[in-house]
Amino acid sequence: MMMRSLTAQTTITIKEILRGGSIIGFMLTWLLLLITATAFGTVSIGERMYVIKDFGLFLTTLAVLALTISAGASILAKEIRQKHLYTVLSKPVSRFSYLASKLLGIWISGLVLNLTLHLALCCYVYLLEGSWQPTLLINTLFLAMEGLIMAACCLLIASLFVTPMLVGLVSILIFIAGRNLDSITALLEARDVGPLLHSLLSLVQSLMPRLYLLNIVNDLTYAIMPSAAAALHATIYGFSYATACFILSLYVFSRRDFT
Amino acid sequence: MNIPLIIDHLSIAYRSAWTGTKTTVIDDISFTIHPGQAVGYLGINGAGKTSTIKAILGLIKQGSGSITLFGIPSSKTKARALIGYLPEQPYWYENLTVEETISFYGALFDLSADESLKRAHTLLERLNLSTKLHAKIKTLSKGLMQRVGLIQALINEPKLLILDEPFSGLDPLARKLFKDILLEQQQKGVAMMISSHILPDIEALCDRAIIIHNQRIQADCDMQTLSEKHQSLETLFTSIAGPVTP
Repeated sequence: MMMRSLTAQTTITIKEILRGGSIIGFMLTWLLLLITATAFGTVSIGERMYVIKDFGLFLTTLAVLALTISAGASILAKEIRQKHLYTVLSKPVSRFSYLASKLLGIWISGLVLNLTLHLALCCYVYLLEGSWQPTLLINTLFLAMEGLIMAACCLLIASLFVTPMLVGLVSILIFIAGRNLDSITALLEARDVGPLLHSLLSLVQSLMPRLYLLNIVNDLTYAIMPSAAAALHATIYGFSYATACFILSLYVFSRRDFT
Repeated sequence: MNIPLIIDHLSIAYRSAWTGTKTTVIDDISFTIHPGQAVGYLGINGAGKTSTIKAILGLIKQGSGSITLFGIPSSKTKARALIGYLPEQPYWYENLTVEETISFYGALFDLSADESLKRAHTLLERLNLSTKLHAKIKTLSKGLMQRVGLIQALINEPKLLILDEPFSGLDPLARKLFKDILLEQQQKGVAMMISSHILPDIEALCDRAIIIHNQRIQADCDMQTLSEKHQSLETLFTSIAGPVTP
């Protein structure tokens, strides 16, 4: 019984996100910025290739994570505000299944954009340079894991706070911290930062997701392939971190009253 | 085991997240709804009607007491398998079509899309919605959305219907249709709990009325007795809730 219900709820979440129109906006912005970068990147033949690949992968990451964070920050608040949740949870639907469908829906929507933009980037590079760069597609796995972690983080924050703006802001801070965790570690090791800041940075270091490990854009730009072990590690890490966040959000969400 | 709803010494209190102040909404109420019984659940605005319904549906955790649905505590997910719920406002996904909405709510009861549409077919015809199957929910009027709501509430062939202001936004013809459908459900043995401000509708549909005021049940009477006493529900309600003040 749960499978059909979970599938239906996940499908509805994806439809709501995709029909919301923001995905088209992200795609058009991505294309516009990529064309602009191409125009400004024509310094030399060799450099143009790097600029397109680097900027294209960067834009793809930005678009996918922007969709994930915006959907993750708003979907729960919207469901509560528009009271869709009332009609769903009044059926034999567990809060676990409800929350899981939101997580899957947000993640899969991001995955659709992730694959579309990576394929579009490969085609764009082919059109300009006349050579296929299928290695760029490896980034879809790493970005998918980053998207999963961010979707789970957003749901956790959304189960604690009701304001989408606040959820979005905290999620962006988590993303920035996660991407710069190696710098924070280096700062902790290199400098005497004072006991209070040291404790704060240590807390950030231990709690925030290690998103910098999933960022392989620079390597791919210069055709450095991640190892199979790195890909496996990214997959295990992504699912583990997202599961931990999901369990915490479920704990909070299950105790919540919808007055 | 087969009693649709047993509420035993239920109290509901909301606690402010900032001040911690506790506000009691419902204070120690108990009642039972038997199969085939239609109960009007009445009270002025803010009396706690919707809070009681939300507690039954597991949307809020009751402060104390117990709620049992068909012998299962309401906190369990499976307790809601035999319930049909129509909320006061149409809370449907706006970007879905009527067909997708019906299939979606059917899937929550493990029904395939075909099965859901097959079950909804007669109701779609009766409620003049069969031509709107591919229309998006956001293009429908409030009255039409309420009709979609009734279909989703009946999709699982429930044994207990919980209706919160079911006639809200309906024109007289649709109200008549709704009443006919609900009476048919009652004849099939479906129990009903109807919260409404329209007292003549309650008199026409229900065989029992519960009036809630000052967080407690002030009257629990059957319509037959009320009629024998030559008393209208409105008179009883006004005598309990007080006259309307300008």
